[in-house]
Amino acid sequence: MKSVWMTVLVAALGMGTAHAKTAAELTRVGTPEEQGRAIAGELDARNAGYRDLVGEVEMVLRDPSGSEAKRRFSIKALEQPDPKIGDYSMIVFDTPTDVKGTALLSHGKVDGEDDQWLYLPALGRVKRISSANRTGSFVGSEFAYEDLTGNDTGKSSWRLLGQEPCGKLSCLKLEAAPRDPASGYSRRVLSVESTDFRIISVDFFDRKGARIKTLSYDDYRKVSGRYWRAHAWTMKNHQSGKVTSLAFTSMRMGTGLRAADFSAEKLKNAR
Amino acid sequence: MQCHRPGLCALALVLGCAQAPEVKTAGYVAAEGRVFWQEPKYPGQEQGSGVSLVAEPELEVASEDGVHTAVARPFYRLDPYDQRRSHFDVRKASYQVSSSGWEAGLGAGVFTWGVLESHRPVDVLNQIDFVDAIDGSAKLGQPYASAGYTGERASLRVYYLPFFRERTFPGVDGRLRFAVPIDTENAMYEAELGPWHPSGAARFTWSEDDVDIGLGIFSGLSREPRFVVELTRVQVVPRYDLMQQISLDAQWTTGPLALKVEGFARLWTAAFQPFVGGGAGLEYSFFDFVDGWDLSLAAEILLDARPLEAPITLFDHDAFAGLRFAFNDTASTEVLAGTLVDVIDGTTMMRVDAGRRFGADWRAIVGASFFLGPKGTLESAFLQDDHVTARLAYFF
Repeated sequence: MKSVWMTVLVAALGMGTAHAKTAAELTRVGTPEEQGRAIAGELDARNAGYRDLVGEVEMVLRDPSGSEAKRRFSIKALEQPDPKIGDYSMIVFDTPTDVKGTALLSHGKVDGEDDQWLYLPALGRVKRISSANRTGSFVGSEFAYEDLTGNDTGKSSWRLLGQEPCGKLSCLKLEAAPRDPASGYSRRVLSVESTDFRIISVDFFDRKGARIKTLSYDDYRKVSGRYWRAHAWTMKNHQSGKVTSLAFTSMRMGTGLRAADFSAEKLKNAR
Repeated sequence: MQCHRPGLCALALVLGCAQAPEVKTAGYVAAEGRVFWQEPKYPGQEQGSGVSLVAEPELEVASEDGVHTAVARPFYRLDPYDQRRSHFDVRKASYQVSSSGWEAGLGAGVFTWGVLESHRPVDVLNQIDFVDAIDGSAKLGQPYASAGYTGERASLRVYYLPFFRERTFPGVDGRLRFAVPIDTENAMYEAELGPWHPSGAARFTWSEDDVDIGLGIFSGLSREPRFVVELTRVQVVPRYDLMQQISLDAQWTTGPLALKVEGFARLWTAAFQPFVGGGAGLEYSFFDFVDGWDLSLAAEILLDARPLEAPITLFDHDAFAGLRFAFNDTASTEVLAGTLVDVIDGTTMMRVDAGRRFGADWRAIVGASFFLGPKGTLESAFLQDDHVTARLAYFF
């Protein structure tokens, strides 16, 4: 009886890890492509069910000469259970102060371009904007727009490259080649540690095949008692030497946000 | 409730919230220099080159759950020459309660309808602060009570506008004025109640995939004045007539291209004189075209079929071309330029602005405005008012 009760309890708390697959299970059979897709699917499965996320972010932009610029913004995201629809997200800037209150809303799409709206408080106007800007810099940082949004699993072709040690852990090397011809990357290579499937780092390769950036995820903490989330991200540009660090000063999940909280009209009151 | 700051707690009590309020500040103070190099056109006008000071601070107090929000955003400009341009306004002073999609608001605020960049013909709720910016980008706070519902894809909001704001105009001393200064102290109204004649409006918005649509309806006092010459005093007096209007604005966004259209059908005065107006345009963006730089181009046309006796509009048959150049650097350096040409008489207004951030809280913008065209048009009043501006603003 105990096992039945445990199952019910785990299901009721939404904490089921019983169906999580191990790295060994996922890499036992199949071609490298099939294994890559399976691991990407497992990353998705382990992140599914978070419902929504509310966080505060501090970003520091550093160039090789040592000068620094800071940005602070809040982020909200809403999970879309339908795999055909991408997640919704809203970013509201707090600093620099001349853009305080500026809000960016994205409705992700797995097929086709995201829907995006921008609210500019100085003009009091919500403007539908093009989301075709994939490769451009997000607020002058080393993050491109495509590094932050529209990274649904279905938008890339996956392949398992192998397994190698990373620090004390063992990492799966996973290649993701974007299907979108407008992407600035030929491929991304993810290092995923094989116990909890936390992404440790991502190498970005440009269209010529050169490694241009590396993103490291650190300060992993469990949010909502279940989801491993990196609270410190560092993006290093190997060509320019510039580094952007991003730190979550707070992160909560399952706060009860609704789809209507991510409507264009709501941008005017976004905080 | 924890009370560390008694004033805020008192406000929180007024707002009826049981939690600690969240307080946010925003806004700016700025020094704005203008240099005119031509002689003033009309007697009484000062040369007008000098520095004016502007302040527009904002204070927002919200309950922790976001249900109750109170915002105040006063505005003041101190102009060295023109007493009329030295003016105070309450851009925003409002209280809003919102819960599960429903919301109600009360106070004064700024609302923007429409999709075009150069001029938005369907945008009729707020009065223009003409003395602050002749392009209509500055608006006076409109007293209102509103209620609405916002869903995931659609929204509906109704407005009751109990009091009318009169348009601001430069005084005798000011540049960028018409031949005869507008006598703003003796405005005339078609409505018996004058500025207390209430107006009402409603707006419905809808977004589906690549398309965003807005429908508007307005009934009340026209924000656009027509000008009546008072022969006894040789003064020009603004007169505000009644109007009823329905409007539509729509944008289709695909890839780097956006197509826009907006238009209205208006019944002017109590005699219901009909006319239509509107515009269409496109915007195309080249993202990351070199070294991370973005270039957006816009082209628009504006048409208005109003009768001669209706309020004069500067946007009756005009073409606009504009560009925005963003460097996407840490200082958010950008250049904006736009030209509006009357395709019938050739009157041309040009504006270019370049700005960048300094440190975390400062922004500097330099710009220039030029006016070209034949004599005898309304806009020809500005022909000797070409000027450059330099603005340094501190944001908080």
